[in-house]
Amino acid sequence: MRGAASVERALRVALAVVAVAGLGVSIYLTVERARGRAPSCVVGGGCGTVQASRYAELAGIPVAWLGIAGYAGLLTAAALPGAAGGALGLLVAVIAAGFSGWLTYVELGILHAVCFWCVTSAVLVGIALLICVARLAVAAPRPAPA
Amino acid sequence: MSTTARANRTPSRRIVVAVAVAAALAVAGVLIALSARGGTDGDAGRSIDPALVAEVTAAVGGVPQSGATLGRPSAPVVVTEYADLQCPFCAQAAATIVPDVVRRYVRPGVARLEFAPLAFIGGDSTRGAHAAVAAGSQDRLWQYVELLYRLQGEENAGWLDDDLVDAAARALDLDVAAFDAALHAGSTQAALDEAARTATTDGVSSTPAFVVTGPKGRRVVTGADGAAVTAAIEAVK
Repeated sequence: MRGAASVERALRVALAVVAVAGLGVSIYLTVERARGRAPSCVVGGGCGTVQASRYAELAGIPVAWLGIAGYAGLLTAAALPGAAGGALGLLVAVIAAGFSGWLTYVELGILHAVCFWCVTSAVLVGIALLICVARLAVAAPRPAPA
Repeated sequence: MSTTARANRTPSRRIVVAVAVAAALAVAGVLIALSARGGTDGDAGRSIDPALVAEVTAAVGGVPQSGATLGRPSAPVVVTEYADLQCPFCAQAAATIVPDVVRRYVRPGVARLEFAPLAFIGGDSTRGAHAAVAAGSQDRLWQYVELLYRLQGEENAGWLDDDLVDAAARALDLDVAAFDAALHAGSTQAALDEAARTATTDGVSSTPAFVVTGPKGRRVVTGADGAAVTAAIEAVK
């Protein structure tokens, strides 16, 4: 059981690292938007197009704010030990992965523009989902040997 | 904990996980539906006074337009106007300087106007700049820009929103589907990047600014100074 506990701890640390990185991306996008500037595209040149599109807001709320909320949720899940943290992490990660997948489709299929920061966030969300699933698997009780 | 107790707990734990995942997927579905609706709600919305539309259409009626260019492509003088659609002095220039230049120089074929949209003031400026270029893809940039200037509100107060952008396109009988596609096209962003680059090259750091180029040289006029623009055209033509 001590092995499972240490693996769970390692997964929580990994989730915290991913959440902090995602918070950094979301805060950067929020600040650039507030300043009325297109974010600097490290790779490619679609950041301005994506950020200026109507898909950058959801019911009037900038999507970057949702990113901050989502990554804050993942950070909270990383801080919470046990089943509560695992369940919260999975809940947030599934929502984030679903929405992030949609936004990636919007970039590729509708806007035909790829934003480096959005792709980075999508990758971070994917990693977070894998970590959350692994955390639940590690925490699941195993039948004792006969 | 006994083996029996663990075995009893496993099914309920799986059910909890399944319910949590289903709930999360449902929330993600709602978010996606809201986002998709936001992306296509241009059919709803506001209408623009037809008299205003008729006015801005008549202002450039009969003058050839192609992309960002108003006037004969072969006109010897080029007047490039750098403008931000949220900028009140740009609206003032559109109401006073542009009609005068069109009447005295563009209609007779002496000069052509080039619109170079910049986004200095805020996020709505970026939206407006994209919209101007998108209207230019259907050769109606000048009446589109003029219409938005007539409807201009306070800087960064939210007046230049998606609804207005689409409503203006509809009012001017643009192909809205093609307009929406052009709004997000890579070529539109490329045109805006190019405008920003030429602004830097021309030393333009505020709007409005007019760069007047002709056979006898080049002049840069900053601000909504109609007399200076006219003098510059006269000097270089």
